[in-house]
Amino acid sequence: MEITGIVLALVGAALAVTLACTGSAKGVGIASEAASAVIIDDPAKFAKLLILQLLPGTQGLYGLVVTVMVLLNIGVLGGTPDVSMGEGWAYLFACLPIAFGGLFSAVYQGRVCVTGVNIVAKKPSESSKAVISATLVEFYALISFISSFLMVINIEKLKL
Amino acid sequence: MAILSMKRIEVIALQKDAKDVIRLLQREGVVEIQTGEDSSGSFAIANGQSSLTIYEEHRNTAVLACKALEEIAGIRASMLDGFTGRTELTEEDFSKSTAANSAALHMATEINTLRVQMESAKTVLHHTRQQLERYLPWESLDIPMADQGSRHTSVFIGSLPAEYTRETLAAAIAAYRSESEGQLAAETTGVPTPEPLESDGTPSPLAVEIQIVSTTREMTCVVIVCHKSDDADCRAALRSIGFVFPTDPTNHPPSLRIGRYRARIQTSLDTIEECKAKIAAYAPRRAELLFLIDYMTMKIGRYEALQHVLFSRKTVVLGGFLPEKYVSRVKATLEKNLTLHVEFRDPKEDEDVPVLLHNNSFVAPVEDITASYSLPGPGEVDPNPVMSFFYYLFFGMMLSDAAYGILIVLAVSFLLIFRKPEGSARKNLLKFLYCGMSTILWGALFGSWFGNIVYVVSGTFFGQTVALNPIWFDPVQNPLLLLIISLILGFTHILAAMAIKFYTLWKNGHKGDAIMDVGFWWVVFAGLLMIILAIAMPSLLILQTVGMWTSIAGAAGLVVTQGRSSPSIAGKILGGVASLYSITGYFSDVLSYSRLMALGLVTGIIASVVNTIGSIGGNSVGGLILFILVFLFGHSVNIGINALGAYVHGNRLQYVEFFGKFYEGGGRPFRPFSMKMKHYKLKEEK
Repeated sequence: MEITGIVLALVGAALAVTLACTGSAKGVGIASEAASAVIIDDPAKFAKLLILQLLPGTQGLYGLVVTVMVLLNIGVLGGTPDVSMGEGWAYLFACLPIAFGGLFSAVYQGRVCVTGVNIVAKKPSESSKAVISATLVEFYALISFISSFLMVINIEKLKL
Repeated sequence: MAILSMKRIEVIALQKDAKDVIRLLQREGVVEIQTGEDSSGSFAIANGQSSLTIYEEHRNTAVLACKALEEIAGIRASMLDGFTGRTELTEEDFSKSTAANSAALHMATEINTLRVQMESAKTVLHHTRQQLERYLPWESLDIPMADQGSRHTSVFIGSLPAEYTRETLAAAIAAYRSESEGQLAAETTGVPTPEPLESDGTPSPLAVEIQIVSTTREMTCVVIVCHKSDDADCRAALRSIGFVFPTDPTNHPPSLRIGRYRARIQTSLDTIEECKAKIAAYAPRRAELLFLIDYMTMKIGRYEALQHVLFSRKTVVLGGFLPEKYVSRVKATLEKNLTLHVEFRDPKEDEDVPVLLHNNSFVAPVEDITASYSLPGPGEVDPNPVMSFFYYLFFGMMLSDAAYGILIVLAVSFLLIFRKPEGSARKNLLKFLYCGMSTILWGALFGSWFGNIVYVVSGTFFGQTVALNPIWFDPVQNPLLLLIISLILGFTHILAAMAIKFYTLWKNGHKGDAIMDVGFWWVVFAGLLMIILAIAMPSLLILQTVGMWTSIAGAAGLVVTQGRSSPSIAGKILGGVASLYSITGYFSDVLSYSRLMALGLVTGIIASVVNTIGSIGGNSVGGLILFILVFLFGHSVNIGINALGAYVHGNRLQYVEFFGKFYEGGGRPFRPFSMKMKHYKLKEEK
């Protein structure tokens, strides 16, 4: 197979969504496992726990958005695909922040959420503090996403 | 505004009036009761534990009855109940309902009796059904299951763990026979077998009569009859294929026992239905139960409060805190109704005074956010007025979609108007009302209405693209400008925090500290701002020099003063120099506000991506259906995730960046002794 620009761009797009979603799946998974253990005893805490369960899910969404933006820009979703070798490399690298930032931040955020579930179980009135702790991690996913996004939307202008 | 000033109240009353004092204070609901002062040591605390237990039992009865009633009458809690206000009662209704309480308690006991009756019927039902299950396969058997046979026959009644027909079972028994015969022949070599042989030399098959009573894939119930002399062989053959006798065989045909079980099931079902109908018939009187719960809660509250009252032989003493503005009202109520002595004074330095915040309806909604961090400690100012403005501003900037804002405002207004919520539910809704308004404003400034919905819909379905232009600028086109705006707003937020610190220090008499800890930093910032300004506008080059020296002057001030708490000279110098290092703290704090840009971008981007995915089907009926589905699902997810994000990141900016600069907290919330009713409230008398 010949490595062309579009192949490189698609590798990037695939990495962005795959790694970010893997991280989110892991993060949401461990948080939900912990939450289920609490819900068995006290189903009324479901709403409070749901927030903690969902928080590590945003990374997957960020990955999806970056992937869709790449696909739109390279013309895979309608239009004629025309990607030079340089652009292909550029898209590939532009996808890396959300791919890896998303992967690791989601997993670590999931771990914070698990401990947050403990807070909700023992001191439900302090649940907002658990959520705040989880957002401390979320911020780095956000930075990764914005970095990837800004790169992706501006690559066309670079005329690589 | 802000933190209400508290007064200490001391009441001395006649002992016979103790309950009335408590009742009046509970009605007023503005006093936090604490044990009164007793310097003489001649007072004791009354033991009301027994009454308390009785009332708790009554409340429990009512709660259980109410739950049973709701479950059986199908009264379901709706998600919106949390936003629904309490029913108002006039003074007259209140005494009427109070009089009806013993009837209500009687009803609650009745309901509970029925409930217990129903529960035991359910247990019987369950147990009987299990029994029935065991005998059902035997229903068509017309002899007792315990039948052993007659003088010449043996009867085997039992089950096999597999599916058989008469033929396969006969074959299985015959197979055993030939096998064991073969073994026997091998063991005894040559000795003729006692069994008669068929002409071809194989042992004759056992003469058995097989009747299949019922069969499923897991189990076959059979009756096998054989001659008495074959009993042992038949037994062995059956055992080899897993035959078992039933554990509790019937002495009559099983249909008799089955009939008995069926009758019992019917009776249990009838009992359950009957109890259900009787309980459901109470549904119109549910309000009485709710009132009873409230009333008992109130009584329990009173007896708990009585535990804080000091009794002597003739008098009682109780103390507490109340906001200053209620002093005259409480004094008037108490003195009008009872003969007692009431005294108010300012709290002493070492007293643990509770904190109650009071703000206007714009500021009050964010009080809960502060409270969940910590209430203002002694000597601190209420941060809510400053915080509320920034909170709404930042929330709107992070959600930043006008259409989402409109949806939030509509939903919240609906709840506020039609469900009349109270307390913190109402505050929360008001908070989102202001947040929603701010979201509309920012969304319009950035030109985001469901992302780029107008552009996509017009392009896909009407053939020509129309775009709603942003009032200010499109953040996706110019993210750098958005970043700069975010950082400027963040810097303003931090300056506001420092201003509050300055004010607090100044107010508490630490004027020097105010200037040294806050003022000097402002001088440094002012200098840095001038330098940035000079870089941005080269015509103001002179500012660069001025700014540099201003900053240096401020920094010098910091170096000289920041080590002042250290005892040694070296420590003072070191502390002063080290303090300059916190400039990195300010720098990272300001950068943290880049989340305003990031979250603001995310909403619009995801919304646009949703619209783009929705329009993939093109201009056709299928395309339109796809668009509507994607639109509903995608935007619901987006609004949920981003509203949550805006909320928690908004909190974080207040807690970490804002509070971190000046706020100590540690105040104890004011918990007034009040009626604490969940379902009803007394109408305010005009």
